[in-house]
Amino acid sequence: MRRLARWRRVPWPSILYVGAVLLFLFAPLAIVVLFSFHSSPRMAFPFQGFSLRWYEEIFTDVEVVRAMGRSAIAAVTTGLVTAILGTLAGLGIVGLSSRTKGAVMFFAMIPMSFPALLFAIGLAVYYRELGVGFSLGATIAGQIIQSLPFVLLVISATLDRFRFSLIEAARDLGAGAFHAFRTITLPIILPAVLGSMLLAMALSADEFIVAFFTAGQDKTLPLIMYGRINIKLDPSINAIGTVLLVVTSALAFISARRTSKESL
Amino acid sequence: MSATPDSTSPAIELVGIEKAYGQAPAVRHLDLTIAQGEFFSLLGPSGCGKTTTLRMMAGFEFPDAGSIRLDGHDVTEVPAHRRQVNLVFQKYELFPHMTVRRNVGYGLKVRRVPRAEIDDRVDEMLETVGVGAFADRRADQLSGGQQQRVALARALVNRPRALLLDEPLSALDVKLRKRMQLELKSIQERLGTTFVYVTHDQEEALLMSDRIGIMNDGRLLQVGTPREIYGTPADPFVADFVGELNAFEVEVRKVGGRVSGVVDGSPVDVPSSASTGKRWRIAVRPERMEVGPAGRKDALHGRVTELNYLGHTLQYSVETAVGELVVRAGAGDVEREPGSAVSIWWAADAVIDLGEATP
Repeated sequence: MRRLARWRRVPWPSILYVGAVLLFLFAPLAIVVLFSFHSSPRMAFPFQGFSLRWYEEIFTDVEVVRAMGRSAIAAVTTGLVTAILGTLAGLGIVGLSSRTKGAVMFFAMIPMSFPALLFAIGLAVYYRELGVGFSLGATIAGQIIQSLPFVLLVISATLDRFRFSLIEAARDLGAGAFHAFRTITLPIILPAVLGSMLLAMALSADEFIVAFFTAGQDKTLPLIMYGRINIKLDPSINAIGTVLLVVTSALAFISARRTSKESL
Repeated sequence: MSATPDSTSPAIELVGIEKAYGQAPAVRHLDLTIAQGEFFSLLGPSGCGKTTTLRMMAGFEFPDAGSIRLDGHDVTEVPAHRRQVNLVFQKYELFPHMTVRRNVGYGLKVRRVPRAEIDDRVDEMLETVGVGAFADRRADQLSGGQQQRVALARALVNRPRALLLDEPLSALDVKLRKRMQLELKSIQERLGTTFVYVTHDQEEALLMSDRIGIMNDGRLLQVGTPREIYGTPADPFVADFVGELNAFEVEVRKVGGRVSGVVDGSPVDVPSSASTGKRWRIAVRPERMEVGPAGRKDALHGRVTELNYLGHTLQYSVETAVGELVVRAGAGDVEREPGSAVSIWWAADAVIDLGEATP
């Protein structure tokens, strides 16, 4: 009730404007989700009725199921590796002087601002020069590099607020360095570590450019969708897209909740 | 770890400790022996090196020179987690993600004490410090005073050879602080643990300690019982830092066969160390000065400029030939109104020797 009352105080042009933005943002998604349940292969209105035929199709399509598996492997691996590397990097830089730390963070953030297309082409050339074949592993390595800055940003912000005198208290009570880390530091920063891991998984799950240039035969889900759009407007991609949307937005949602809950 | 406590050795010995941060010396040639079961306070202004000294005892800082012995064993190079002392931190540093019970049991668990024994000892210690009712609360849901007690329990439950306390009461409000001072003292007496207490609050140190060490500028200036520190300070800094002081200079002369200090034409007592013909600095505590009607022989003469009623005492400001003096008298005494002429005198043993005056 109270929330409603607060809404009433917002002037109507603002509501209209925000509504328009949201519509523009979410209408394409809504259309994909809607047509994934369409009983007809026609991707146009009028809507002819609901069915799960496209979901049945994609989950029985070996090519799609395999790509789902690859995407899942890529997401989990990217998430785990970036969470571990990001935590280690965060712990490494937290004690540095603010100047050195600024410099390290600047270089660590480069992959975030670097054009993904250039990065992916560069990576592909590099792999070829090194004689590394294009594969899922090659793609995962690229995705790790891409998502590491996001993870480091979240973890280093958390560590900046961590009271390291707690570690002294643990040492005073007889804990060795690793034991103190495991029982004090890690539990306190864990929400941020898990949150950033989920963020990295979401980034990996719908990553296209690096996968396009380096995956070779190991096509991930976004590559399969792209292939199908190219050949003909296959309605099954709506179902694939919806699955991907549900997974990534669930990951991003949990990630946001995790990192904001951590308020120490 | 399980060195048998040797009760014939002092609890803590510091020998020739030097510590500098870069070019800045923090502790200079410090020797100190703290007895078993003693409540010892390190008192001094901020930046005097008292916390650094405490952290060296805890094993968080290591001296540049000198040695530290705990129960007779050299621990100079032993890091904090292998020393049988525990520290109560100024800001408590309770683990916010754990319950009170787990906080207090942390040290025992690290040392692999059996589960059942941990539970018993934790419960007992929580009762001792009076937070038994909060055992299952999270540490970050407690008030300052409760956190303070939990921090104390978390350290004491390990039965340390000495408990180190770094200004543990400074974050509490005055009333709670006063109560905790008495409680800390009674807990210490009950357990018989050696306490090393760092504070900048002289009243706190006087109230709680068996002995006090006064530090300034990295040096330990005097070690003594509260009475010694207050009554016979060894050093002008000590005299001034602990309690209030009326300090002034007198001319040392032989008056009627006795060596006396002459102020304003009247002879006053001076320390036996004072030599004739010199100017000497002496001091008298406000409550050791007597105030009475003008015209008394062998007294200082002055005029009351201010009279303050403090409940239990009357506090006068008196303008004299040696400057303004603060004098305290019992509240039942005759009140001397501002403007009235008075005499001020004191007993011979009230004189604090501050040495020869530097011209």
